[in-house]
Amino acid sequence: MQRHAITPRPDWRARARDLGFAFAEIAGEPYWDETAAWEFTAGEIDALEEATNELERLCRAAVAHAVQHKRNDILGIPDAVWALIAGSWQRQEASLYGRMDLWWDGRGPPKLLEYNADTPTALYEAAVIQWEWLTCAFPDMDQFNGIHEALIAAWPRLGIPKRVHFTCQRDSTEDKGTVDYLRDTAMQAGAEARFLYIDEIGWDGGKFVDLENQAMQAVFKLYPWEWLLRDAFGNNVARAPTRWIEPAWRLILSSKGILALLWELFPGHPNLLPAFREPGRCGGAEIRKPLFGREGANISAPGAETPGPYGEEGFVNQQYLELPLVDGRYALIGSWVIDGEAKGIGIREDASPITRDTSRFVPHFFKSA
Amino acid sequence: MRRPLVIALVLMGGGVVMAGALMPGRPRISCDEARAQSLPNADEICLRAASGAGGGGSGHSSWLFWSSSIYRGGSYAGSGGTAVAANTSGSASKVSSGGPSSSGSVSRGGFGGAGASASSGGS
Repeated sequence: MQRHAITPRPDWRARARDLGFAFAEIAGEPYWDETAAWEFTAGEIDALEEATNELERLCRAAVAHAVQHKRNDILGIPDAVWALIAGSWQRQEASLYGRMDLWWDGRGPPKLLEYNADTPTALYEAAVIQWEWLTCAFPDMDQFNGIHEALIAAWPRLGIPKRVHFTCQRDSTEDKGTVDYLRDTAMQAGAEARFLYIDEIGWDGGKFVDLENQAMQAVFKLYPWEWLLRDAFGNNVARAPTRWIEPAWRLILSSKGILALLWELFPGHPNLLPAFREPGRCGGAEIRKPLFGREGANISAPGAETPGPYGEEGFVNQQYLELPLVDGRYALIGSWVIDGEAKGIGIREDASPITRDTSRFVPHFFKSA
Repeated sequence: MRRPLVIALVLMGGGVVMAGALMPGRPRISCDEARAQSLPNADEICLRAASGAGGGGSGHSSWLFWSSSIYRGGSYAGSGGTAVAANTSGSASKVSSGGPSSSGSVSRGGFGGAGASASSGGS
């Protein structure tokens, strides 16, 4: 696992634009960064793939345990919505995608830092942009990236109606780009994919409806479950016949309380770090994360603290491992799980040890065995 | 090869076309090939191939053309395919609007409040 400084393609901005990548730069700063690339060996890619699949197995076992034993306390999920969440798991409503954030320096087992299991982004750049980069910059190399094909293959397996509505908030180019991309994959899989903003969703007294007052039978939402349930329409979710993607049980995994539950259920597992709801139990330096925080907000770690609006819901404390620091950049591996299987990675870097929404996406490659 | 399938063609919205070049030389696929590979949109490919749409000539279609057709102008512009809705461009719609429903009215704006102060719902 090696970071290389490389020369960016002179036309990378035009290429990004042609690819519809509207957030290659954010607030005038590069988000897509091809001044560097990470090289892996085939064995290292195998290690990441195996660790991700193992962690997915642990996570699903933890969800089953949480539902069976009603462990919403450790997860910070209110009693009032637990039946909805448990029901979606018991009906085995399928998940489309998720992104595990992994600590790894190429030695020893990768460690789970958290699981973005509900509304992960950094998807389009991982699935398409870095692949296009590979075909230009390192055409003889390979990349751990079957994300795009896996998404197309996954849609028909979700068991949802052919018409799917896609929704997100206004005013976020990244969110809209992610939703557009997923909508594209759904169309390529044969779905009739419609878009409307989250505030345009209607309620007719018995079901959610779109702008043409057509029933919304299946909805992909890039809008977190904890927000959806808190909104004015939140009480309608349980009585509406809508299938949601991601399903409600993903809230169990997107709560960072899952880190404490995983450690309780699988203590000492090589792909996990000690984690507890209470501080001071990890046996060393700790990082404190809000249960439902996003994009690196409200994090406390040795020597670093970030502002933000989260934390009222409680925190989890995890053993602190500083991300690998190379060339002045801290690197985090995002490992994509599509339809329950590891399908690729994307790497984000930051000058700070805490990865945020402004962290840069850096491509990777490896040499096939 | 970690990327086992040959098709890597995508389009993004806003009328911006992308990326036939992801797999140079492999933009077209026949109906028979699509069926043989059990591609998830094989029916669509065959439908378009049969109608001559898709820019692939007789017997062929193209994922690229299909994708770009979907997004051209925000709505499906080709023939022989499934119509898809144009991007909505309405206002915030935080109003009640009439329409056919069991209660005779539809309320809107009940989602989005919790995220109003956040820049993104993604993570």
